[in-house]
Amino acid sequence: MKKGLPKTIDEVEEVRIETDLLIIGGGNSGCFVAIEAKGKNPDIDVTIMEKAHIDRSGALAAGMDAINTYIGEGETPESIVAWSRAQVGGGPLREDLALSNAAILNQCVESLEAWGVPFKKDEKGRYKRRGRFDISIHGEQLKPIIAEKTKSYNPRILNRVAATNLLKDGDRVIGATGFGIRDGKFYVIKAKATVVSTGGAAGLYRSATNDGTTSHHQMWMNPFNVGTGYAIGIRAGAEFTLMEQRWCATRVKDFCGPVDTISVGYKAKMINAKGELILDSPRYSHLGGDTAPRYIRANAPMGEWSEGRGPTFVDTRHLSPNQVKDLKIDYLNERPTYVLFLASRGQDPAKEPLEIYGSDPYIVGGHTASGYWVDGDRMATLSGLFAAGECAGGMPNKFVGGCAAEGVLAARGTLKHISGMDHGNVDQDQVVAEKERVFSPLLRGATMEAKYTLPVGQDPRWQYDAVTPEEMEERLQRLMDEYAGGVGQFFKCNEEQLNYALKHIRMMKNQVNKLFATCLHDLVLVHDVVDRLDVAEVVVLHLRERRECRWPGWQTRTDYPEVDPSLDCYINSRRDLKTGEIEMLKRPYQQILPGDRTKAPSPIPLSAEKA
Amino acid sequence: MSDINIGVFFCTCEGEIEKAIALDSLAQEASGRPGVVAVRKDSCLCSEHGLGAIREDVNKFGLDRVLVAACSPSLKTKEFADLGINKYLVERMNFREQCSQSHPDNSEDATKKARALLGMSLEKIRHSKALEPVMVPAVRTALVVGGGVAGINAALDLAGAGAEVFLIEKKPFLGGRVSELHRYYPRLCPPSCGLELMFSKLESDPRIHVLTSSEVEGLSGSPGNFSISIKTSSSDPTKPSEKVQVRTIIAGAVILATGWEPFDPTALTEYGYGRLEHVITNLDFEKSAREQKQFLEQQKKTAFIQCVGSRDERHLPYCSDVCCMVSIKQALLLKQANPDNEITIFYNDIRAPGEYEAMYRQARTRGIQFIKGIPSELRQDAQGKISVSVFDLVAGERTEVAVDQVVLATGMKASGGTAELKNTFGLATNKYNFIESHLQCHPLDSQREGIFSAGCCRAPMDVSRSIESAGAATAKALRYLQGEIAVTPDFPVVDILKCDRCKRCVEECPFKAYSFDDKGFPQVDILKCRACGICMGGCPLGAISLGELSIEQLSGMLDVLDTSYLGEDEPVILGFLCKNDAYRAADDAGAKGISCPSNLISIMVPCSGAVNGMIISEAIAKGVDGILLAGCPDNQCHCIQGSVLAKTRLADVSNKLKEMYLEPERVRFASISRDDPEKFAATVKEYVEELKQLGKNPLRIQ
Amino acid sequence: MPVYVVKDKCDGCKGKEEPLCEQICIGDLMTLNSDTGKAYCRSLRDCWDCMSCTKICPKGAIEQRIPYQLGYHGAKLIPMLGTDSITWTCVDIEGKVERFSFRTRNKH
Repeated sequence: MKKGLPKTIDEVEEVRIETDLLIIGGGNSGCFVAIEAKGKNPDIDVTIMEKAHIDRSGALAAGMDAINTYIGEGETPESIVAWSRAQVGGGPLREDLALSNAAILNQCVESLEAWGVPFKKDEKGRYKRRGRFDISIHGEQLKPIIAEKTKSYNPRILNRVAATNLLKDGDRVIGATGFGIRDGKFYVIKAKATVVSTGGAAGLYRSATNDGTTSHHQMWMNPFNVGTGYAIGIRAGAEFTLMEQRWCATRVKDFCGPVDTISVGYKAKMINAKGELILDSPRYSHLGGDTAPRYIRANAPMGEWSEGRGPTFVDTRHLSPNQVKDLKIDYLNERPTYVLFLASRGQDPAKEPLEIYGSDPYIVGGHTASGYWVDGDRMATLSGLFAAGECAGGMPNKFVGGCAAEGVLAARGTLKHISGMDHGNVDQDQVVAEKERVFSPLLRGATMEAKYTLPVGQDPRWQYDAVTPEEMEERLQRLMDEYAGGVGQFFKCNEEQLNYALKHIRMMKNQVNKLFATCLHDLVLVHDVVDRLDVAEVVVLHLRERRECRWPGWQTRTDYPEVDPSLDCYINSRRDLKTGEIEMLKRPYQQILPGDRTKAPSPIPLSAEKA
Repeated sequence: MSDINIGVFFCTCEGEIEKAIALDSLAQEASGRPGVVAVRKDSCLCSEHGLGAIREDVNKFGLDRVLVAACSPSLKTKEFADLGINKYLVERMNFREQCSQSHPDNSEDATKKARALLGMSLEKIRHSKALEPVMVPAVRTALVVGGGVAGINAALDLAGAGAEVFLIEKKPFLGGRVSELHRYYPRLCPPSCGLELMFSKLESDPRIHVLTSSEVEGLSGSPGNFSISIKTSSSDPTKPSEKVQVRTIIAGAVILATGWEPFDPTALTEYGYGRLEHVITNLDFEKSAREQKQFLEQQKKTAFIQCVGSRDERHLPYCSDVCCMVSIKQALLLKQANPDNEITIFYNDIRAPGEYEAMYRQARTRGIQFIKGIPSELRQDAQGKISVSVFDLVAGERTEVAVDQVVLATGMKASGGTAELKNTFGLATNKYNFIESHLQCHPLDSQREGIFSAGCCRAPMDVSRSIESAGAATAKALRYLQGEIAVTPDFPVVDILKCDRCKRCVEECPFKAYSFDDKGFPQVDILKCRACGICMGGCPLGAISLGELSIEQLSGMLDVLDTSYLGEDEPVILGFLCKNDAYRAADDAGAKGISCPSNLISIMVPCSGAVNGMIISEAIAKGVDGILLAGCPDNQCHCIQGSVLAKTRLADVSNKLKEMYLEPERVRFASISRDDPEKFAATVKEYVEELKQLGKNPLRIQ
Repeated sequence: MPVYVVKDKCDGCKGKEEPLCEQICIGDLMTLNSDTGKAYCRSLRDCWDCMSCTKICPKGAIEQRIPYQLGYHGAKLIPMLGTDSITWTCVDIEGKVERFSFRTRNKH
């Protein structure tokens, strides 16, 4: 177990790299950053730091069955922004970011088709629409295709290197550090511009199906996206926005997989145990029924359950055998094991409707608006630091297409910034301290003495008087679920619960020096939980600060159940690096598109579209 | 794709093709296909006028691709390579041997198959690329390892052909085993005579550098530019202070002539070698004959026992080729020296091939006894007389002979020198440790491009054949000694964007042509490669394609293949036929008028090992009813392990089909040898019947 | 969601340092047991069932299974990759077989 691991910090090899553009996270948006940067400027030196392997890493690992943001015939960039705004109850939403994204959205989506992704077409050869802005693809090879395109530009790709912190020179971000998951080395990368594109944060909360055997990671989002991108920004003092706007969605129950495929794509309506339509009920119909804002659709089934009218379903009993087959093909392109799930229950969707439930909350800036506070160039509040994709805050409803466009915009932002820029100076003390912080759990694991008798047939780590990362992770997840509005609490929380959560998060943060790792894989788990703690703390602070209920479900305060008009603004936060405390602040909303923000202009139907 | 101009040319082959295939209707259809700007039908495309017509059309229509529907692509290759367009942009469709000739009974079916072929070829040709041979500079220096008779002659032949030669020999002197002989056959002359002649030629040729007391330490680089380090130790034991010298030479080709070792018969305890006096080996005989005059002259009774160690499952299971003649030679020498010498040769079979028959007859005429039977043991009495007891198979009775000496005709083993070089040079040897690539077709190859073998390191052989083999090896080596090597551009290309560095290609290449670049990606040395395609077949990600056949082409052909081209009830089989054996057999079936069902469409592949499992899976997924991989029988594969690997990969696909509740019988392998067209036709017929039982493939792409 | 390696089929990708499943796993879960020369999943409970390993295994040695928490034993989902398409076979707990075959890459 301890064979071959370093026992002292000096045994850890260092790798020093100087690059122009560092991209942390080689997922969808990270790849688009590389492709755009190299495409516009082939001489630029681009490095991608990727925790897994770029061919399949990120939320697109199993594939994708739809692109949920495409501006089709009859729609405009303004209409999609207005729709997005209405979907989040009128905002807040950075209309400037959303408009710049919408302007290039289609060409980003179309480039996927040019690279070989099959897009479903209608009889006129246009992209087949399954929803207002949703089009269908066969995306099982989506990530490998994007990865191949990225590789064709020959950036330096560091697979299996996990980012640990940003490097700073005063207030400037001048690169980042990381460690090799396979080679055990410490990476110090200097960059003129750094883009954080690590996806969202999953596993802050306990998932509903988490159990003691084999379904710990039964969640909608990639569980290996732990929010490192947010955490390193928090620790560096960058400003974050709307971290209280958690993405709690309706999912197929137990499996916790996507349900939009069914509800939007096949027009399957939500029903409760009695067979009553949920969204058409008086409770929700005034909010738009099926076109109600997303958080309504998330909360509705949970509301039914908590009031004793569960289980809840999407009614698929009207589907023809061909439609069931198409439905399954959609799933095979996105979460293939859902088909296995149905098979393992002998369930035919045409005979039995599909069960739905809420999911554990995620922080995903591509779905809601949580993330870094960025300007139009996607630069964060620290010079040299950019955010793309789910990491960038202020703009919800990006999904795959929008995150790709964000990558392109962030690339353009970095190119502007890099020209004429130097590398800055690396503070060697900072590097030494960081190396110590990163590797001390591993050194601890290599030098600890066994104290307890070895339990036969069990994990040998129980011999040591210390804390395993899994223990701390499970503690955090249950804490958040019970006290910070998890699915177990039907997303509800109050001030006292949130304070309790904060107290215990801080107690855990004080105990991270008890975590140990006996191999490099464990070291990843240690840093995963350390990063999650930092993100969770900020999420709870934001939940506490927003004393109202603007988007029930995404944020449900039982002690402030109404909307407070004075909170029609951004709630932001930033760590004060002198005191170490997180400061909360507010920023005003800026409306660009006129009109009622809670309403989306109706789509203009296509001449060929039939109901 | 519509900006490519394609010309489609149909040959009626003086009516031979047209009588079974409706060429006019196909020509009509072809002219309607995207990109087809020229269509022509001719009675004899390979004639001067036919070829001229194609050339004219290439010019007139600015053709980028030429599709020729005619005889088998294995015929008339020179003619159709010279059409005024890069020859790799010409695609041949087998309309004769594997269509009109194989399916004469039902011309509708032949036409239907031809139509399917046309569609596939039009798709394939879109992806074809213009390729040129790659010219690689090479040195005009050769290395010969081993200074025996084969090595010396190789050096002389190479120098005679204009190369500079380094001849290295481990011992301090040249001559090898031949110099240990007293006489050699057939002329019974002393080897020193021949050797002296060779030595003087060596010395007088400034192009030959002889290094004795020298050994190869290491080899790197590629054919045309091998870098070899040679260690020369002091040959004078009285001057140990003379340092060991190491030098590096660059050689374009290497000929190995590391010779043989005698089999040690001590293991055959029944013959008492080393225990009984006057029991000697045939080499001992030579030594004694050379050193002691009276050895031959002194009258005595001698028994020769043949096949000592050879043709023996316990020791050398093969025949050592020379021992019969050596014993006959030695017997004749004894008789010549003293006509009163009595000699008996105990044998299994007497192998006196060709003109050596005369020596055998001479031996019999001179009174040398031949008894068919191998003695079971030798017993020596107190006087030293040895009794040899044997069951005479011809007479049918036991007989006993008392003799003064017994000569054991021991065989040849591969030498220790060869074994040492195996690792240095990465050679392949056969199971007897002789150097071998493909017995039948490439007898002098070593399974490493640019490295050849001559003489007994290849197999047991006599002096005449050793000298001949040296000449033959020289001829093969000359390709690499012209100052420049032209590499045919059919070698594989790795798509680095897809490659995951699993290393399968590097490991499975039978010719060790792959190495790793500085990022760990596989790169092929085009000089070592033989374009067998085993790498293409084994890549789990389909990242490797050959110059003439790419994964993209195969996948495209599968897209357009109409899997109901013979009708809804007829199964369609896609046959991947290896170009050396199975494809020829299929052609032969047509040429011999052996009718074959038209359900099989063939794709020629360099080796059955070149077929990728993903392509097979894709074919099944796209609705093909059956896949046939036909290659050489295992031990005849030109690419050493192609057939074996093909079978393993097919087994993997078969297992996967089983798991997927599809019939594993939809993929199969057949060993079809070049000269067995009947077997080919029978295999296809049987397969079609089985597939009819199984029913149509339930899969089709949505 | 757990992924299992069938020991009779796995050849450890010829026992080299990183078998294909280890190279591709998004969670650093697949690895080679250097004693047996075969691959295994370090932590069954941490798998997200993206099936990248199942698809890439050249021997078809990896089986995706559903946790008992979610569904009953015996259902199967098997991918077969072509160069531009994928075919899935799904078998439910009653033995009913369904097949899906579709294109995953368009050619130029």
